[in-house]
Amino acid sequence: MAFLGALCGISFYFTYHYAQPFQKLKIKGRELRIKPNAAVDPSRRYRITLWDYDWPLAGDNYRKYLQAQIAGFNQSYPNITVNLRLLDLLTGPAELAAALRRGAPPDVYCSALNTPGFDFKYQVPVGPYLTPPVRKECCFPGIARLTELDGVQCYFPRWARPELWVGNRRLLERAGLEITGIRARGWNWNDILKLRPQITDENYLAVGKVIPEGILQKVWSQAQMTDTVGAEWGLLQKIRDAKGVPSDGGPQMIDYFCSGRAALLAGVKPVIWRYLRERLARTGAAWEAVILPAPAWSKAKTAPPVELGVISVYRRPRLGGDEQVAAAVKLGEYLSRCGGDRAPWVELMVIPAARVAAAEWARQSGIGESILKILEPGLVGGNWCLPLPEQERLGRISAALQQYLSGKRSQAETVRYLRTTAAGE
Amino acid sequence: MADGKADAVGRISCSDGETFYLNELETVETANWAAVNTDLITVEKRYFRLTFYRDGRMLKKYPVAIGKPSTPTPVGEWKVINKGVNCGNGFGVRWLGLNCPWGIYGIHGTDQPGSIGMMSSHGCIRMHNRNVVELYNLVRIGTPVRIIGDLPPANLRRVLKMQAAGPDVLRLQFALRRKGFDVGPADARYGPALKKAVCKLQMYYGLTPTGIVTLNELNLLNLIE
Repeated sequence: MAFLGALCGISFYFTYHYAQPFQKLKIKGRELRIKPNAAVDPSRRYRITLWDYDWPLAGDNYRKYLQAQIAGFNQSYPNITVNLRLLDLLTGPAELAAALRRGAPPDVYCSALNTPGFDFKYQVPVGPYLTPPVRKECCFPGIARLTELDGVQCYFPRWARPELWVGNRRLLERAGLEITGIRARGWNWNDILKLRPQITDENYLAVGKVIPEGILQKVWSQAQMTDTVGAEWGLLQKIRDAKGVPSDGGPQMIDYFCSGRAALLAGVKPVIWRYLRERLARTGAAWEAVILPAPAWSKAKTAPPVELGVISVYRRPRLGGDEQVAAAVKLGEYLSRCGGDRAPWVELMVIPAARVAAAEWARQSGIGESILKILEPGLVGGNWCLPLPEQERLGRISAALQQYLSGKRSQAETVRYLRTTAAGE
Repeated sequence: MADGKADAVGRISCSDGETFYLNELETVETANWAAVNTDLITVEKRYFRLTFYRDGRMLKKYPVAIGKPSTPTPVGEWKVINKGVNCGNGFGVRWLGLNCPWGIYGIHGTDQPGSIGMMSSHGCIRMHNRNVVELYNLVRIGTPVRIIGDLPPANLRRVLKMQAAGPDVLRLQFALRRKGFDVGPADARYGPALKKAVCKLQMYYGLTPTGIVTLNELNLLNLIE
């Protein structure tokens, strides 16, 4: 009897374990079932479709980089054939959306600089497939958090492109602002207003994306509800009184900064900092363009938006099953490490998600590891970059506020304008 | 009559002052650039040489005259938009018109054969009459014509967008191409292909992809400093 009981128990264990292999996950209230313990069978051949973007690097270097990556992947997985397709930067997101609607997504999709919405029908959250050591190695912690939904890692992070501020070192130090201190402890707009006595009337405090997105949203929302102004206008008034911002600081921001007419260039990407550094060296400028963290708006710390390149894995209906998904996860994980030649990341000036690759990138790009540490809080607390129509709407609101800041419109006129016109243009 | 357009009776007067009667022409919409055939004409200003290619192979090479320094032959990537003959007394017997947006330029014969190999015209490309007759019979409407040389000077406008045309647009196209962005043919016209390239440049630099070139983009392309 005891023997029969043991036999039943063992039989029940194996039946339970192998008949119920799925893991259930709940994301945004919806249940998903995945099989993370499915393994790639080395005796089977798999065919994986990979979509990535055709980045305009010289000499077709991006395609060559990907082909080298695939060749490296095939050294560990010679039974997995990868079919590569490069998408157009502008139309790629729409192609993915159309493929998902048709039920024909790729196995692996590498986004450009935005994160596609999670597709509950076909997308596979990748986190459960990773062991903790692998997760630690391939995911830069700050960036990885941005790929999670409800605590589940849904995408492989690949790279990030945060916004940063660039300062004219000479003007900042003349005003008594110490670059090392700003980088270590952060700063706010009251610090920036100290620049005012140091610069002439023809010059400005800052150009570019001066006002954080969160403040733009708040100001606009208030303007829709009432003619009175909110607390944010206190600081806007101070900047206006200090003649802080020109009215045309958007389309001419690089001109203003490079000519020394603006002390700060706000909310630009690392690739623009590199351009500025090269241009100032070429023209023999007597001052240096230094990277700074975004200043806090009054007492609140603001998190700058981060563009994120991610890798999604999809289950292709009627093709391959769980082992196919496992193979796709392996490829996604391999690509997310940004291994091999670092050149595309240096040329694109995007921070690789993998820790080791990011450190190497910091050295090769000239940004340096100390600056990488400054950017990290932005990566942890940053928000996913907004969709384009929303970016354009905020751009119109920002332009309207800059008219106020430059003295071309009064506060009442600006609020009226925001209420009636800015959003709808 | 810019853009090589004919008048009501199908007659065209080019920058060299000669008149041709058109017997083949096409309404130009260079924004819709489609490869008509595998033919290609290149004009290397430095060598005063016109070369005709078919299916990637050089078929014919001819000496030409080009514009004087004060009236240069327009560098760019044009196409043949009309063909015509001169029914006069045999000078300049054939005409192949190009779609340059700032003047009427073309490839034609001449009654001054001694000018071939020199910078002697008002911008047109002159050939010996026997050569232009031969070329005329080979070339079809829509054949691309690449004129290679130094770009013309240009006053860059502060804002460039769709429907703009001119030497500054041409400079923009070449600058984008140098950076690895596909602009289509560099035909000095701001069309959909150029707009897409500008949007991609803006994405690359983290600017809002409006497709409109401002001083920011001109700076990033090192077109102004």
